[in-house]
Amino acid sequence: MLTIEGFKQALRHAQSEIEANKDTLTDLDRAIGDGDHGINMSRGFDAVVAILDDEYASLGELSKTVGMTLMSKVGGAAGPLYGSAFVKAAPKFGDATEADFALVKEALEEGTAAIKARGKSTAGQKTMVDVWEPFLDGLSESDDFTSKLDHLVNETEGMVATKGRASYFGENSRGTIDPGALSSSIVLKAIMKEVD
Amino acid sequence: MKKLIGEASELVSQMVEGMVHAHPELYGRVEGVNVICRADGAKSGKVGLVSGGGSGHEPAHAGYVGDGMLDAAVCGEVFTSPTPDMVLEGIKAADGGNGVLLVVKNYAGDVMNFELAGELADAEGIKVDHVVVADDVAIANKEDRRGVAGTVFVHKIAGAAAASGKSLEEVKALAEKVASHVRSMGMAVEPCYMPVSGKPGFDLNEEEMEIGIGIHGERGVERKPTTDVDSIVDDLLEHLTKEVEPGKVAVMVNGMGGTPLSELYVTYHFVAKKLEAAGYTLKRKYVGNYMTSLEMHGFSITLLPLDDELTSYLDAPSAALGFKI
Repeated sequence: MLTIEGFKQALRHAQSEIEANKDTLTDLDRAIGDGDHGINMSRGFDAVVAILDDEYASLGELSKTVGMTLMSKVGGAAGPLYGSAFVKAAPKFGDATEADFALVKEALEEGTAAIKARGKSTAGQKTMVDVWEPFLDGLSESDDFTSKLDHLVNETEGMVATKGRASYFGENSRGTIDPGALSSSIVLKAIMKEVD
Repeated sequence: MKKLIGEASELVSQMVEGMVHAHPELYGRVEGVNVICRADGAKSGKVGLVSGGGSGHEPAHAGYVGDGMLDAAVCGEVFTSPTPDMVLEGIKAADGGNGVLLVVKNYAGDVMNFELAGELADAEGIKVDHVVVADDVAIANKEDRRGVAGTVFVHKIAGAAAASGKSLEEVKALAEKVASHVRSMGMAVEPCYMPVSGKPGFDLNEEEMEIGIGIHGERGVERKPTTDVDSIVDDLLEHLTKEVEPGKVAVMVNGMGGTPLSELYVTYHFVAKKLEAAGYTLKRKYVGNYMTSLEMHGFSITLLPLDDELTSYLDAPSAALGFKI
């Protein structure tokens, strides 16, 4: 079950993991982007942690607030993408104060749809979609979430980017893990840990 | 890398503060946000023109705020698109009641954040439209092309059209006319350094240069051995002249921030000679720093085919510090 407290814990955990991986995210982005992903994600999740001290009546309310905060603090492409994911997941959670695995999965699927719509992207383009979509596809409660996510992140290394700034490098984008895929795995791991 | 800055996280806000303090007759600041607007506020009845993006491109974009050009510039973190709520503040500051046009460079983040802001403004009853500039010929696929220095011509011509009293639809049509014809390409011999991380956008050894760079410190599409500027100009013009027919053009040789003016004029000397030999008439020429990438050492060339309409808007008065006429 994911409770409001558990969701908050997941977000705090995501923040500390992003902080720990800030340089890695930025270095990956330097290789195939513009080198600010770690900095932007860290700024955004620091702001998210600051809103967690407030009281929330439902998972939906918390998810929406997290999304709006990310949208207004991250900037770049990651801001609207992560922001839209949490904002669009919010109505799925609705007034619920706790969510079972099935509901969390549905909410994250809404989030994935929002990322795809906002970024006009599909799976296979070497973006964060390559973690979100295949991770949820056929996911069951008994899966090893962490290893599935790690596997998907590593899969992006061999892909050629056709969307986002990495696409400017064409074939040269192969051989580097997509930074958005890595940050997505950090966020999703943190959430799934609290669903157990 | 040494930088002349205070706290890196305060760079943009301190820059904005400095600009407004230095030019109070020209600039105002939307309270609490890194948005520069006109000192005298939105002009009633005039179509508002808003641009912006990451910072680090100075004089873009605040340098183009002023009578005859932009009404507001939204200043994101260095090389990071501003957020939708910031862009919304820019739209509000520019709204004179007759609609607002957003000039957006074709980067995923900019397009998404400006689109979101447009939706928010729409919900508040402000008529907003946008034009996306994608002038960088270094990218083969036209849809993926980045918006670079050619954006300055869009600011100038759309700004002059708005100042002359044109409607939102007319200003947008002109902006699109410029955006669809303007072409640019850039290169660098030295990278720029991100203020927060202190790291270079790319690592380049003494004998290498990047061809086909964007304006966010990212690598070019091709890494080559360095050569003289005469040959580099040949390389860039080969791409540009494939897409711009010989005829009357405006040409811009734009510095990337760390290029001495002497080198920009040397570059321009070769650009002009080669273009004229190839049958181009250089009706208007611009040499200087218009759309930079922090301290990057390099340049870009922009060509805009000119007719009488575009020429007259290009020549119309502008009070903007970065494009004073």
